[in-house]
Amino acid sequence: LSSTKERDIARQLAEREGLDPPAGLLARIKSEIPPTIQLGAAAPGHETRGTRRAGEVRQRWLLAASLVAMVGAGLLARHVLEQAPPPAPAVASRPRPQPGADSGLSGPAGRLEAELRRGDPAAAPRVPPPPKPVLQTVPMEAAGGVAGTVEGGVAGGVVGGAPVPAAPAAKAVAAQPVQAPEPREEEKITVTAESPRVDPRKASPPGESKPEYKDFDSFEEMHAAAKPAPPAAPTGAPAPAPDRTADLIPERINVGGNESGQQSAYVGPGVRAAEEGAGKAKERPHPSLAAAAPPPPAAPFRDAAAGRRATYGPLADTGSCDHARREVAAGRLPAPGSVRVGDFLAFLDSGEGGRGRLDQQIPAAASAKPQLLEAQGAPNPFGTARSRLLLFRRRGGAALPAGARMEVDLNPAVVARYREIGAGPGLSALYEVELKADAASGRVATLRLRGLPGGEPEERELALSGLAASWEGASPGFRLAALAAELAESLKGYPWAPADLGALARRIREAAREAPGNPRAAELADLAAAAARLRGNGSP
Amino acid sequence: LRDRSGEDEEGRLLAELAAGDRSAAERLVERTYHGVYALLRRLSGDAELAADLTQETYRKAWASLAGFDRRAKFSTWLFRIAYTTFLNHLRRPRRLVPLEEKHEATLEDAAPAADEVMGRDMQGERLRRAVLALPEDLRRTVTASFWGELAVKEVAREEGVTPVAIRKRLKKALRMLALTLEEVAG
Repeated sequence: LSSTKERDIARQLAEREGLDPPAGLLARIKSEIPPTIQLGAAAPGHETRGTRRAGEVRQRWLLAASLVAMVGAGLLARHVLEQAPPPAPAVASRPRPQPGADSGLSGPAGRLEAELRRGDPAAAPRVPPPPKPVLQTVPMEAAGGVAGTVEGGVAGGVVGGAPVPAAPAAKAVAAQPVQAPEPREEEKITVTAESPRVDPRKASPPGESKPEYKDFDSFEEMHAAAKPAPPAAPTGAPAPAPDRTADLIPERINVGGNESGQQSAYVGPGVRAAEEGAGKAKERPHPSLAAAAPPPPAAPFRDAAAGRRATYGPLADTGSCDHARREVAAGRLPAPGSVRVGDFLAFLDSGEGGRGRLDQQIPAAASAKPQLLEAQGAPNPFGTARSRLLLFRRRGGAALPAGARMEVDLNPAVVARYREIGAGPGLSALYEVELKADAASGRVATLRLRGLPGGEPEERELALSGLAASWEGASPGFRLAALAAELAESLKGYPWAPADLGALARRIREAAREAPGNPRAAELADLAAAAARLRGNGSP
Repeated sequence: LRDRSGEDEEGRLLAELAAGDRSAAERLVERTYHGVYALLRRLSGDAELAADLTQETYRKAWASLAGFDRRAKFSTWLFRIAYTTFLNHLRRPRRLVPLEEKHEATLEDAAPAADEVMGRDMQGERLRRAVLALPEDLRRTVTASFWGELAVKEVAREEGVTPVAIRKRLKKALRMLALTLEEVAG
């Protein structure tokens, strides 16, 4: 039944129904073929099929030669074995020493034992009574710890059955009244009591708390802390056996992830909150780990079911950006968790005199002032073909009351998906939207400014035709805001953010040159360039 | 035989492309874009997204053709780019949120009954999700073999293992998929 199911799955996987590319795709791809394409040189041995065939033939010959050599070696070994004289029976049939069994000795000792077994009266007086095997009488721990070694104990053939003191086996055996002749052959038997590869985590009794990997900065530190202190030995007692497991570091500590060892980056929505609610939240990790931990990727997402509208007020600050600049000046990258995208937008806004905090009082008549808000959009240079960046903010120099709120309402007929990148205190909000494939015209978003004197909101629409046709066609202020947000996301370590901070710094510097009125732009470019050097993205 | 002649044709087109013939690139696209789109369509489960990713795949291919050393077939190399493009996209789309619930396309009156089609679509979607949930090596192997339609030998060369190992991986993957789908159904 199972194999039938697997065959069925294989059949489903191989189905090709409904996989025809849409009309126009071919033309789209062809239109993007660059006028000149540089083709790499073929790797040696891969120029033609002929050379590959020659390689395959050579490989087969090598395989055949190996087989012939193996067979020849086997025949030779057999021939040598047949020609060699038969080995001594005592050596050939010597069994492993077992408690209570024959000692299986060779040489004079073996002959002696054989005579004894045959009942040779001449041999009887020459030896003491049959001994107990050493392995029964030597305490293994005293004989060398976990992996005890009995050396030379059986070399003399017969050993006495007297109790062996708790001392190294070789000495113990040497002290026995061995009457046998000098040995001609020596043997070394190593008895291993347990596997040396012991997981030290299992060594502690259940219930005992052990330090975890997250409590340490490094493996060395963890290893040092994990090493148990040797217990004080009582006076006169034999030294305890060394703990050979203490020096072992487990090769791999599984801290989660799937079967192939990959870590899952997914953080379910509300998992942390649910844990905290249930009182199951874990302790705060070590500060250094907390600083290095990537930010939760779920943070910038918004549930569509919660509505497509968002309202912004003066909530953000520039503190995070200032902190990042201080950190970079001190020669280190800011901790990802300390970076807030909105603060970077606010930092940029603070350079424009008219876009400060909303603490200005305006007369009631000001509500009639047209276009207190501005909305811009342009293709996203870091996204797909249908991706657009939208920036909503109050117009520079526009005075607004402190209670003013900006509301963004995206049009689902034109926008397929969206992401709120960040919002600053000057009522700046940056979005990334993905347009629907069939969207050719229409309203992208509506902006409403609420909280104005008189109660009536001011509305402003951003149409698809109002978006810039290209990134370069967008205003320098728009580009700077978008690049500031990208810089913040890159410092946060978001996987979708541009990793090459050097290139980003160059873009910021270019845009900054076009916006000389905002000194913050150049400072932001400096921040990006310094961060790029720290990250190793080159010096722009 | 067809594979060999295809390989020869591919080699000829690449040689023409190296000589500066832009139309060779167009013919290469014509030969391969069906397969690339089909792969991305199966991986993403979204026709529009697959078309976008196909475009992106070729964009990347032209940009990195200078690094193509022809150790593998062009189509295999393209598969690798398409697969990576999709994986990169997997990280990207989660930043965007659907603005509205996606409405299923209206079913046509002809051919199979509506419930049958819906059931099949659901089954296909479950299978797609199960494949994406496989461990990376198995997922890559299944994708290359079934959806990339690469020969086992070619997949083995790509993965640096023997064809026997690839067959074992496929067997294991199918077993895991069967278990996953049973769990989902149950």
